[in-house]
Amino acid sequence: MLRKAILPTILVILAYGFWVSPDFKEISAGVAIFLFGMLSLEEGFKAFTGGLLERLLRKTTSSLWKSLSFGVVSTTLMQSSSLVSVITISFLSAGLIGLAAGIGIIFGANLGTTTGAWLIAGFGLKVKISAYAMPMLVFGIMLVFQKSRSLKGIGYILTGLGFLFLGIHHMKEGFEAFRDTIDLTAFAVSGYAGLFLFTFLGVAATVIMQSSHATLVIIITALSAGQVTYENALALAIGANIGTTITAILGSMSSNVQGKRLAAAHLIFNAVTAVIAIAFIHQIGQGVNAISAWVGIADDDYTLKLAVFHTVFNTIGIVAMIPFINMLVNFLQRVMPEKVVAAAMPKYLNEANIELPDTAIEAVRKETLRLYENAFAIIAHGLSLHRHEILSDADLADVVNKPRKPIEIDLEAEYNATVKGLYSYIVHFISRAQVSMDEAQADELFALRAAGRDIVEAIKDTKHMHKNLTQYIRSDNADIRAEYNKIRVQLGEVLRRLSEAGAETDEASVVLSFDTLKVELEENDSTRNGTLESLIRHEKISPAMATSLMNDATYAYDVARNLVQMGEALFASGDLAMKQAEREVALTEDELEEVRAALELAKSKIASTEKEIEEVQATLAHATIQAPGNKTP
Amino acid sequence: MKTSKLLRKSAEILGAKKSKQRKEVDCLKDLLAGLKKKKRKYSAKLEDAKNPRDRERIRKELAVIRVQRHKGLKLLKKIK
Repeated sequence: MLRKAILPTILVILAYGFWVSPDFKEISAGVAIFLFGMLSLEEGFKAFTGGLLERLLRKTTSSLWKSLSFGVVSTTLMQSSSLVSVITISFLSAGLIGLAAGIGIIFGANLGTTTGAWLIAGFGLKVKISAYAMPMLVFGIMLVFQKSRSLKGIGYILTGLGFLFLGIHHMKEGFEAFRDTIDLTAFAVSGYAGLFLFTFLGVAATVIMQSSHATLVIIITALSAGQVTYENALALAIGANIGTTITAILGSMSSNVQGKRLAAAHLIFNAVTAVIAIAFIHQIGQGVNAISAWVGIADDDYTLKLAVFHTVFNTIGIVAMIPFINMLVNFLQRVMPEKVVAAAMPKYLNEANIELPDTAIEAVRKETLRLYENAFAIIAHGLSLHRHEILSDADLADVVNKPRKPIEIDLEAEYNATVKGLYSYIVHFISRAQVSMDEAQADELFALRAAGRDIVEAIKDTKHMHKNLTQYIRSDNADIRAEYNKIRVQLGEVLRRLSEAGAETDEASVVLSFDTLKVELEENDSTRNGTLESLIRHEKISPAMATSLMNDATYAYDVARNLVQMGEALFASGDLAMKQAEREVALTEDELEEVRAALELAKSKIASTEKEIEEVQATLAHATIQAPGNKTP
Repeated sequence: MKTSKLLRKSAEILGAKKSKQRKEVDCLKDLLAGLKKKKRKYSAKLEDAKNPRDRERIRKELAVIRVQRHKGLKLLKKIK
């Protein structure tokens, strides 16, 4: 009820304010234009999140200092700590970066956001900023209407900057006109009471606008117009720093526990920084005066001094908190433990990941890997093999020949419990995520969906052959037992090779190694290599056994083919372009046939050469025996 | 930034197709280099391998790599 009443109340108050004061209307319009500029800027940067930002994030988060620098630089460039924190949360919840790296970025973003104060105080107020806004808007909008994604992105960024400048201009004008009618400094409160009150106001304003930048612009423009005192402006800036964490908190609500931990870290960092700033406000103030004097800022240039203060207190926060980052990570991991996710529940698919195409793809890939992990256990047990046996170095031929009872497993129940539900989540997530993707990204998502389908198909085929397999691996007929054990070895080998490929992180062409597996599939298929005919012809197996083997060999071939297909999509390395290149170089069925023919030829050549060698050796041996002086044994 | 470099960069931004092509070439080159490395690794392994089954498997790997490299080079020439 209260929630529903908030928005209409605010709208009514604003409307009344506009009616009473045209200056208030201009300030509010300035804030609205500024916030619209922020939205446009974020939209523009999102156009570049299909690679550049992600590549940078991956490369620049290997150490704390790199993460910190990334946070500073990216926030300085984008002028939005909120966007950086939301992207960081989505990367963290997709498992692309660790918590310590995420915290580093957030700390850096806090410092990077202070450049906004410098820009507004140093440039926005000193220059007639609206003069720059107009051409930016014109060029920006022209580019927004272009087809190219990059040009569109640049267009949004230019338009965003244009609106930001225009918003600042209107706020400045509004406050200057306001000065003539109302003196807001009459409401100034001095001492610690004022400090707490204005800190709270700063928090409230930033929470409402969800932008510390917008709050800072209001503070700086109001300060330049003399509508707030310098002391109160400092308190407002401290409050804005706490309030800005709201965006990360809201963003983390839809993410997993990793995202929530990062939002908590952000809040803790900004709260601690605020406590330090409030506790040592006078000392920091003196420090700001000294630094300002040192860099040549006039004693009464409070706007630039506010920018210095903003930078100083955020730097103090970073210096104070950096030694405790690991403690903070441990604390958050203890207080916010990772929930044990049921096998059938998604771990990486959440709302925080769906917005950015690359994180959505990565989340789907990781979830499909989980699906494969679940399927691995089902297929392995369906083959009466243990997971550790497949993952070991042991010769699988020896493993399957060990006499033991087949593993009892209800494949249908296992499939329903650990695969079916998760697969549905993945399919649903993909259908929602693909909306905001370009062609290459959507193709990648389709490839991952197909990988999920291959996994499900592989389980179903395993289920089909399971009954016969458990029966014949205990059969007294050694030939049928050997054939079914061959199937187990062959599929066990495929699972082993896929696990090796999944663990391989250095090799660029992991996916291409699956072509060798494909060559082997055909060779091992007893329905195609003549083994089955031979067994029937020599009456080594009964007609019923032959029919079962024929069907099950086909199922086994399909299981292997589906798993290899899945591996090609799931274990492809690098970015989208690299994956595309790998798929182009991967061999087609005709080319695989060519390899098989070449191998067959080489094999027969080797055999004939070996035969020739044997003949030559035999002739030589005979000649040695026949030679004069040699006695016949 | 030199004028020529500036022109090239602007052409890259405006002509996304060409930039995509360059990326494709780079990826293929990386892939071919990786395959060459793999070929050397398996050739060395083949010399050391004594077990006929291992030798057969390595031969298969080498045969596949040979065709893949051939295909990759053909693709590279086509794009260039």
